[in-house]
Amino acid sequence: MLQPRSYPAFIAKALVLENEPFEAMVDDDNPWIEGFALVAAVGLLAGVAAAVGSFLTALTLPAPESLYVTLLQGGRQFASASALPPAEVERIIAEIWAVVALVTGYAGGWSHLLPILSIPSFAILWWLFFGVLAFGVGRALGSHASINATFGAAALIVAPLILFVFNIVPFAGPNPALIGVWSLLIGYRAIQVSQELEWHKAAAVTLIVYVVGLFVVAALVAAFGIGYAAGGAR
Amino acid sequence: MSSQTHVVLPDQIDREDWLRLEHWLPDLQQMWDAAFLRLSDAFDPYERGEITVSMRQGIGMIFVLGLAAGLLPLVGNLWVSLRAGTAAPLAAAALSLAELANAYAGAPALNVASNTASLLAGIEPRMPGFWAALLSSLGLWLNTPLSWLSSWILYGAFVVALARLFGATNRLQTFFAATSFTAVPMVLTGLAPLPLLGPLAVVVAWIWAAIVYYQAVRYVTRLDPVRTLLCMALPPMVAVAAAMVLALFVALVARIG
Repeated sequence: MLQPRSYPAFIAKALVLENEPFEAMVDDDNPWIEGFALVAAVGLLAGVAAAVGSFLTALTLPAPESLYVTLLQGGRQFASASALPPAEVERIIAEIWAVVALVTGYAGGWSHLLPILSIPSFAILWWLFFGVLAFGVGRALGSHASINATFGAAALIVAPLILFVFNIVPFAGPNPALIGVWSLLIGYRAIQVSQELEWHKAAAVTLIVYVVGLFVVAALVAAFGIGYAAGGAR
Repeated sequence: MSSQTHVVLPDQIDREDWLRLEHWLPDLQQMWDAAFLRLSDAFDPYERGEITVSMRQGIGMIFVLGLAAGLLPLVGNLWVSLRAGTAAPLAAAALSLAELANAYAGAPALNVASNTASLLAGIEPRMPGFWAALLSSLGLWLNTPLSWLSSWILYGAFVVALARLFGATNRLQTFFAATSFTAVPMVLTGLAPLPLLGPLAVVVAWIWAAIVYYQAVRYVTRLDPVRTLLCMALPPMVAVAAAMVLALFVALVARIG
């Protein structure tokens, strides 16, 4: 049975690497569903906080059109001062502007709401990826845990996303590396508890999952870069 | 541990107790003891023969001390951004670039950057200037403890992994709980904006913090001095080496391209 009222305590305890929330998730009557609900809830909270923060941050800045025109002017002056072709400098500014304005929500419109979709989606995808791979690698290293239990405990890897609440205040926010490494430590504890592995095997499983994850992300970024360079986004 | 006992260890609290403030902060005496390297008093104030300070208390302490260290920069950011009536990062960038452009008057690119930043800071924000300045200054203030938390977790993860490889058997929580006291001397970095005294305070803070960190790692891991120093020095050395290899690779690709 879903127990969302326990989620704040689970998250607070998972952040300090206590065993209790991992054990509670493993012993749940349906760890998979409980895990999915927890990941979705935390992801949605983080997404809403990031969306509100992006909206407020954009309000603290000048209108995007004025800022863009001023940047272009500066770019032209910089080009003439450094003997660079002005058209090339303008093109670089325009391309960077397009990506930054969309990702940060500064472009306005629906782009402010992007984190409400992107953060929970990414959290769920990462949890599924982590759970499946941790289960497989754990089995290969001698674990006898079920995939259901692994998914339940692994759901707590999203706990550091709670720090996105700080994003509500303009220009505040956690370092992505902090989220990644804290999540890794929690993932290690989740594997240790759910798969009952020795510390070095649990560490190996966690690192293998992260290394494979990094390769997948690098491949996606490279594919996006090649597609963008080929004119796919224009 | 039974919830009926009158002494409750901070990392053994009941579910409903995790919100209580005292479980999120060690007391001032513990921080004072840590600053003067009386680590057993800081980590084990009840003399129970084990580390009773918790990682949760470490998080709270880092956050509160980070906020304290960020007070002076907050006042500075508020002063600059309220006068300019714009967001603090824009106002601060304009000011810094103007100072740089004055210092290196012969650099035309720097002059252009300074002019552009001044123009950007001069454009009216979409919300009233007062609120833009206030909210953005608060945001930058919150980033101080968040960046301290980042350093603590990121660096600590590498150090504790190396310590394990060198034979340490401590728990992750006790390692992070103990090393969190490094935040105590780092409060001095809050004096950085002061002329003359500021840079000295920052140097003292970093040296003092390194000593507290070294002692804390030794206390928790029980490793010998050489292994402790290796655990602390290898992560930055590897990071610098990796950055150099990456820079060389990028330079090579640019040359071939």
